[in-house]
Amino acid sequence: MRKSWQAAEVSAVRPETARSRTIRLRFPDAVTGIAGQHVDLRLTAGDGYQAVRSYSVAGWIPPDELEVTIEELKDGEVSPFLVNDLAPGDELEVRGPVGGWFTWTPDQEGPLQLIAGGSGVVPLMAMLRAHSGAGSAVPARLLYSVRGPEQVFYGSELAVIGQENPHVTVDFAYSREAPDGQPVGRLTREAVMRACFPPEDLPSVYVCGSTGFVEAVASWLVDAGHEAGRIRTERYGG
Amino acid sequence: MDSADQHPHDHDHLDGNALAGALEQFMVDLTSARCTCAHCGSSSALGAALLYTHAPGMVLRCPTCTSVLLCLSDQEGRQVLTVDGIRQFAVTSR
Repeated sequence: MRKSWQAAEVSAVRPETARSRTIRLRFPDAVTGIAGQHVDLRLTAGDGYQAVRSYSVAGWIPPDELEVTIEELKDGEVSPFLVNDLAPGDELEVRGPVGGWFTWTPDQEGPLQLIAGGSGVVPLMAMLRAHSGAGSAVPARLLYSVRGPEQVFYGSELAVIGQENPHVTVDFAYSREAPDGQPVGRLTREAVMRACFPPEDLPSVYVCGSTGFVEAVASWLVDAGHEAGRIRTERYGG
Repeated sequence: MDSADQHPHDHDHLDGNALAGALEQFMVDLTSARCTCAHCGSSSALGAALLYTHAPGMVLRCPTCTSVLLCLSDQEGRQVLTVDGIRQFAVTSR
C-alpha cells in the first residue's frame, strides 16, 4: 500500500461523454491494486492552496498505469480543470490506490451483483474488467442507471462484454431519455429486483452512486431479503 | 524503599515496546476494519460509515445512530485523530 504522495504523469486522455473523460496516469514505478479502490488526486494552486479529491480507478494497464474517469461537477473546484484543461504530459500528485472495503477480487465466492447510478459505474467497471481479465466464470450482472444514452460511460466496451461474455449480463435503466423502444423513468424497486440475482443466490452486491441512489437501492435490497452484510455501498460526492 | 515496593505490579508487566509486533497487524487498510460505536454499540465497517468533509477536518459518523466516531484534522503539520466515539476496533488477524 502506498502511503505518500507521488507525481504521476498524464499519459493519455479520452472523452467518455460531453462532460466527462478518462485520464490515464503513468506512475514512476509499477502500480497494482484491487478493483473498487480509488486514488486521491491533489492539486496545488499558484498561491499554495491545495485541494484533494478521491476518484475511483476504472482500470489498470500493467505495469505502471491506471485510469480514472472524471465527470465535471457544476461549480466543482477540481473536476472542471481535470475534465477540460488537464493535458497529456501534465503531472498530478497522486496517493494510492487505496481502499479495502468497497473492493472485489476474482477469488471471491458467489455471484457478483453491480448496481451503478450515473458516474458510480466507474469502480464497478473496474470490477467487471477484473472479472473478464481473470476469465472468471462467476455469474455477474451490472444494472446501470443513467439519465440517457448520451451519458453512458464505457458504452461500446459494455456492449461487447454483455454480448460476448456468457457469464455477464448488462442492463441499463434510463431515467430521462432512452433509446427507441426502451422504458424511461426513475429507477424503481421492481426494476432493481428484476435485474438482480435473488437473495437466495447469496450474491455479493456493490452499489455506487449518489447518496440518495445508494440509500434507496440498499434499502430495497434489504427489504427484499438480501443480507445487509453482503451489500457494500459507495457514495460519491456532489 | 525501592521502586518495586512502590509499584507492586512491576514484575507483572512489560512496556509498550513489546506491542510493536501485535500492533503491526493494524498497519492495513483501515477502512475494512470493523468498529463498534461507543454510543449505540452497533458495529460496522469503517468504510460503511458516514463521512463529512465540510467541517474543518473530517468527521466520521456512525451509520446507525450518527454519533461521531472519529475526527481527523491537520493541526500545524500533524495529523490528529480523535476516536472518542469508537469503543472497539477490529481487524482480521494476520
